[in-house]
Amino acid sequence: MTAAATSSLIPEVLREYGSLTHTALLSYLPEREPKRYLYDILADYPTRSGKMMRPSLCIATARAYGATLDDALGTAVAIELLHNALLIHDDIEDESEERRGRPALHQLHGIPLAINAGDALSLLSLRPLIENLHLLGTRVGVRILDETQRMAAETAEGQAMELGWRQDNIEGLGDEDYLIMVLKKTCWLATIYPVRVGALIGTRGQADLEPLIRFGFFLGAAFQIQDDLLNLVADKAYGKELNGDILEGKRTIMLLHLLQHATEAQRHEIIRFLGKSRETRSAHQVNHIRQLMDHYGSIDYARQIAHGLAGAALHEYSLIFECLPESRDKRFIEGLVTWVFERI
Amino acid sequence: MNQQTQSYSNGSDSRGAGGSEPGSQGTGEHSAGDSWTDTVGYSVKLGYRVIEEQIRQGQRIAQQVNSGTYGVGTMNNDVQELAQSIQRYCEDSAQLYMRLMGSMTSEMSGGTAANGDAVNNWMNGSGSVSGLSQLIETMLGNLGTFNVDGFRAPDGYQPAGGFSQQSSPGNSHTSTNNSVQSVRAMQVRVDDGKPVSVDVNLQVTACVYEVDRLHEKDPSIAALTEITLKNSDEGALMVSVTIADEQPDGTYSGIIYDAANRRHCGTLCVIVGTGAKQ
Repeated sequence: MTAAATSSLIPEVLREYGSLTHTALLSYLPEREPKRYLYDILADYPTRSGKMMRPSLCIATARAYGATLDDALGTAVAIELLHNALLIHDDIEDESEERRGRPALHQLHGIPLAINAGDALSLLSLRPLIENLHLLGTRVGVRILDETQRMAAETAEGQAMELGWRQDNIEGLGDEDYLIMVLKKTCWLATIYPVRVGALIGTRGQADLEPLIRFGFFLGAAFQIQDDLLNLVADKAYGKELNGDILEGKRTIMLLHLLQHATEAQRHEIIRFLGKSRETRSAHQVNHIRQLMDHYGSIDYARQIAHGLAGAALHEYSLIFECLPESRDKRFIEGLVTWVFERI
Repeated sequence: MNQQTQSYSNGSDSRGAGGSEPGSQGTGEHSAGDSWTDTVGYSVKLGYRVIEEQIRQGQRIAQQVNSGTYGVGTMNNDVQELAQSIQRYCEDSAQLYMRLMGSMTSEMSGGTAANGDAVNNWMNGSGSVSGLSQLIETMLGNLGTFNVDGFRAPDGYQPAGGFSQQSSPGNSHTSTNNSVQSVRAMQVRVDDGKPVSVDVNLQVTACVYEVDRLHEKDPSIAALTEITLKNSDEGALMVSVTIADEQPDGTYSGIIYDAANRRHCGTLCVIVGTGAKQ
């Protein structure tokens, strides 16, 4: 597949599957009171235009294995509902100001209502999974619920790792710590879970799921590092505040690299900055750290790491998907690996 | 925000990268000053190390949580693949066999109503159809996923009351009810005049089963509560589901538990009415 074909296929499939998922998702959002304090709030993030990579990956994997769109659509909706629920809580925990180009939910409605909306949205994600018991049969339906439980646990563990590092201003982290955290916090929900449940749906529970962990991890980790890079270099279209991760004290691979290569004085300065509360961190300090990342090659280093992981993802893709018949969905899954670096 | 500073160790050195691999410790992991291929190669090696450890952890957790359920996960790959292949073969064979039996009983009985008679006979272990369960027993060997499809109880059918006393010659299991035993065959009794299909999926064979209730996806519909799973002296799993005349059509699903510890060990699904497989 040529690069040009890839670059047009990925947005095309994301639009198609994203639109189908979004339409189906709306039917799960209750149209009843209390709208003002709950249902209008929880409907906000799902109606802001996200990339829809997670549900699209689930649908494409299921179809690549031979499932129908309808077989996978409910699970894709569940993924998107849970993703948006976690975004609400993440934004509160990270004290983020923006999400998808607009104020974060807690900035609009306050923290208590936003937390409650996130809780409700995550519970709503159970409905399509329960319906799977009828749609796909109890055997596959329960397997998907098992996968959901594991994914939720892994995601919570990853988020706890990152929050704990920031709360206690942990030093001495390395690339491996970062990758373990990303594996749990990002990869399970973003890529591992969608491909695993997609394969379960497509094979009616017969797929060997272990290789899909590897593919999902490498794809998800490359995606997360690129996401972290975009936070430092992207324009307003990115949808989040530029350098917001530095301001929030997130342990990105660029920051860890900088801490390992800066002078002792610079390292102490950065550690002191990270030990401050967010409101006492100045824009000047943020910009200074950003410049140090350029100076020490931390941005380029992260790019190289991401490219290595993407290469491993392509290798794992070939091991898993080569045996399946050629299809648009297969090309989409493969193309996602390079699309990670093209997206805004 | 807590302003203290702490060191972090992920079971490795203070740089946290597992310690022993080249480029993952000390002052640095790989830097941008290294060649592109060095850093890329390092990231791939590091990535594989992280994910392989995650997979090993997952296997250990699955083994602890589901000891007895996913026991094959502890075997080496060749043995594991063989065991999984055998289990899949048994499952597939049992499913195919049960579907064939559904067709055969339909043909033998000359139509839907008579089909119900045949099934009813089979369920009660009488007449020529009673031999089927012995065949099923042979085919199943141990356990798997199997379906009982397309059976229709005759109009006006009255339950016989209690399970049949079907014998299973050649079955070496002699344990008593409520004791631990393997599933060797299955009997199903459905006390209703509607078309039904029953799908049982068991992942654990050696336990005493129980099912609380079977729920329809529409929460306003009353659940099925009169379900009994019982191991016979002969090693057969006998499923009894009582469906009232006024019970709405639908798909009713529930979890099968190990009565000893309430662990999930399978699922039971009953489709009532027009959705039942014919």
